[in-house]
Amino acid sequence: MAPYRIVEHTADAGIHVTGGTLEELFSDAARGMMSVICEVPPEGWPETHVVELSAPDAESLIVDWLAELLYLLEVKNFFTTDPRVEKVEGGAMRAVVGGARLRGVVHATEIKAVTHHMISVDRTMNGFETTIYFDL
Amino acid sequence: MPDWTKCFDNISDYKIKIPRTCFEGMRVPGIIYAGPELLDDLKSDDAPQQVANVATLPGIVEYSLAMPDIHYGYGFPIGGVAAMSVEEGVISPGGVGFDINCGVRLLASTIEAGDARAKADELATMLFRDVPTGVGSTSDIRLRGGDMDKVLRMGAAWAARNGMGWEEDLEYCESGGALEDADPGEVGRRARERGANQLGTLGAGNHFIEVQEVEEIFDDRAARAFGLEKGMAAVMIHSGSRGLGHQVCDDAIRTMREAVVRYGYELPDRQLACAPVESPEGRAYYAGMCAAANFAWANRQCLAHTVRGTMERVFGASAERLGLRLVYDVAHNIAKFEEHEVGGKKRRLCVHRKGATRAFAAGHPELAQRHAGVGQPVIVPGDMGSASYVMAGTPQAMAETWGSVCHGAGRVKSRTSAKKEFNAASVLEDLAAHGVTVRAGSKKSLLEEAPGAYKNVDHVVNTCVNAGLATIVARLRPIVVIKG
Repeated sequence: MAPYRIVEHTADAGIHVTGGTLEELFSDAARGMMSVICEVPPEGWPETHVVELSAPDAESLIVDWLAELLYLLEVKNFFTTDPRVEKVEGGAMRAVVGGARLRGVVHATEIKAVTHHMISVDRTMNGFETTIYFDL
Repeated sequence: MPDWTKCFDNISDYKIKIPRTCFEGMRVPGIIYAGPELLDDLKSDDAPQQVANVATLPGIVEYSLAMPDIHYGYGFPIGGVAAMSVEEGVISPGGVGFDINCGVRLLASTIEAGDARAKADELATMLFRDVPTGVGSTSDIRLRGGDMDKVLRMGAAWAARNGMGWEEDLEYCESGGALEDADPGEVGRRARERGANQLGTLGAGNHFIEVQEVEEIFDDRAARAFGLEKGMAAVMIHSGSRGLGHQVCDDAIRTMREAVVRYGYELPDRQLACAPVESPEGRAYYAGMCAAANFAWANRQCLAHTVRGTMERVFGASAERLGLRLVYDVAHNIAKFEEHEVGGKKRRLCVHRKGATRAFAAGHPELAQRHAGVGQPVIVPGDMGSASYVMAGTPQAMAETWGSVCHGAGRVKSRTSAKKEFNAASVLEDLAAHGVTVRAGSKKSLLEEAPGAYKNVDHVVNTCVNAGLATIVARLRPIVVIKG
């Protein structure tokens, strides 16, 4: 099964993500979100960012993590292609994020924000799953 | 999905009640305005659940309301309106949305629609070139030193007084284009970073600029007061507070998700995170939201200035000669303190409108002198292939919906299914057959916003009129559409 799939939403869009570990879940959620923005990653100069975050629970943490990648896109023109989440533990995470600094304007889907709408990170037989909605 | 129709209690052909007993925790009933032709869409959408969710919020007064363009959102439904008690109620960023003061402004003109049609191609190309659109787009407006704080305090006036507009524009903006309770200190570093180069940019998604024809006038007196004349061109601009507003909302939800635990609220959806209106968290959000709303008014003012410049070059005359006057500028994602009558007594309430437009009736003290006798102009954009409407507020809207009405056609198809169902060539062909010239950033954005993805705006407007919430003043047809 693919680690993420797009979920229908009348006005916006969501992704359903599965992962054997929280690290996989967080990495694939990032890939899923970037695929909503642009199916084919745009070209740019290679760059790497380190992201370290903490939050009260896994739901808040995964929303903050994706919001961080949106911030990098909007302010630093950095498009994530290779999100390597090294550790998610005790409400904290660390990731080394590979990607490209964009050369100009990209006509892609603009995600305004990552919502907390009905967010829940759940344990499954095979690991974890969650559904995250974006405001477009 | 639960069968909400089992709960529906029809008050009239245009008004449905969701009783309190329908969903656990509802403090007040829900009221959805939907005419017979909108019922099928309503039944196939989960938005009524969100109307019920809003009804569980502490301090909600009388009803959780939804306008006829209701559709599934996050937290509140799109089209949701809720008034909260200032003393006992909450303020919720989820009741405003990420795009704080997303809104619409309409410019009238004395350009014959036929002349605009004859130059449609040139207009489309020039507008698409002049107005920054798309992800990562920036404008030429550079904010220096204390400029950002001034924008956040002054709103549209900052742009108008820095050579980007006319003084009279301000009179025709809701709240004069600025909320005085704005506190730039409540707009954080990240929000400022995101907004720094975005003043005067359109954005993407459903944001647009349209050159339209005033096709039909339904109310001569109101149309005169609004400055609209049949057969003339008009320009409609739909945009909001860009990344700055999105970040202000994001930051507030982050604060409030922890406040919810502290205040002991049990919410059916985390996106409804909230805090008491009169709490430190509530006051901070409101002051930041007002500042973001002011940024949005400044943004639409800058966009209108760019549009005026483009029209000047295309038609070879000044914007003044072309009569490019502001009809009105309305917010449709906002929370405001307003005085309304509850049980025969005036009360100050915190009114949340998420995808809903303020629609004050004639005689309201907040209206511009020019509108005092006819009511506030309400701008209702339709899809890019059909029509948009200008309406006016009524006393019934004041009595029933805290002076609120719909904000657009409302989506009916998800973006994913729109992309699957339509193809770019036939959408462009259909639009051309309707005399519409389009420039979009990508095929994807064109398909996501295809006319078939929206409800029929006529049905939405008819429900508002038949329910007594607004009167129709004019219908406008698109000639040129610019999408991000």
